[in-house]
Amino acid sequence: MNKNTIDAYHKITAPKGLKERIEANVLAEQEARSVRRNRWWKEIRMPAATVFAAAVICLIVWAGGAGMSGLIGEKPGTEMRMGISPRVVVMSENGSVLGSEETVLEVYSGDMTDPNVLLAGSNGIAPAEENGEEDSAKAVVLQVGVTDVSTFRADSDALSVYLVNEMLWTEPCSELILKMDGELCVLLPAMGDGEVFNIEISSAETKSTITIVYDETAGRYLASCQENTGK
Amino acid sequence: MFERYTDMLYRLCYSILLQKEDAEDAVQDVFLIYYRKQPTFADEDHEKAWFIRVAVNRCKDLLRRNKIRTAVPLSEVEETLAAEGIEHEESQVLTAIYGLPEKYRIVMILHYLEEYPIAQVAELCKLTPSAVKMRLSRGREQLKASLGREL
Repeated sequence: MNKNTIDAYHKITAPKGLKERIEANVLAEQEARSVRRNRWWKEIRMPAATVFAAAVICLIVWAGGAGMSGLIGEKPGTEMRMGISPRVVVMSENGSVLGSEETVLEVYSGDMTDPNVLLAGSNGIAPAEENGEEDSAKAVVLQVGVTDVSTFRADSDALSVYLVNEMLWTEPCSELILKMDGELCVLLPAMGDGEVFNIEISSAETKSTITIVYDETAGRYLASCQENTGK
Repeated sequence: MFERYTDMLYRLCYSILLQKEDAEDAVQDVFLIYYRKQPTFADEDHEKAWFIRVAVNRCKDLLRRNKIRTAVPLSEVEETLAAEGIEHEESQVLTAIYGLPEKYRIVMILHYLEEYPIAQVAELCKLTPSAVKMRLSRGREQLKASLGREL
């Protein structure tokens, strides 16, 4: 490339005031965060009397709840389990839940390790033919609703997970350990004809296996999800 | 940090978005992402690469969201370059690069103007080195066609 062109390119500079504007916005955000932190700190610095009153109320509520559930009084030693059982729900991009039957998945093109593609994915990614990126990798996006999932394992090192609420995505790997509630997208790599990609999602009490197969003749991905609740 | 990267990021974002206001917004977003994530870097090269990668991703995101605004008349780009004090003769090739489709433009800017080697462009754009070479070659062909000469 001609030196003049490189010099011309480097003559483009940020408009006056941009640095200051960015600096001011970053500082404003920093300050807002600090205010939020301080407010939280002030709230927990309650007078001793308030703490005592709160503790008494908590004790009464706990005793009431425990009594009703049979922990106190009637059945000593009864095991009490609370909370929602861990579960895995696998959905295709259009929101239909994948059961044990094979389901055709939408195919998307684009670089699925690009966080922006994934952000776009949460609102629906444009199909391959509209994307125009003919030389980029094809991939499928599964939306997985999870509660208390602990481990993701894939049979290759191409597993990548996008945490919807955290605006975060992981680098491709073969095993992930996540402790979270919420919704995430599991991203799969480009696959050859008949190639199988398995993802095992397990928590303390359940284990689900998602199997993806690429059928080149039909030009589609098929996915099935098998749940074994008694791990 | 602002001093070191603002101009470089603005140049890059402008080259992708071709809109001054969008480029300013993109640069600001990059710094906000930096502040929120506060990533740690092995060295200065790693830091610069992170900024470039986030800026490219942010610009692509903006382009995707504002598809209708991606067609910017080159006369508008020429005016902006003239306002930056770039003479018409100097800006001819640059304007032609800005007239290329986005996917060729980004790799050409990173390789020829930011002077990153192909392997690093591939890493920054999450492409394979052969895909980068292919885009560079197609971009050069289109430039040759629009300028009527070799670079």
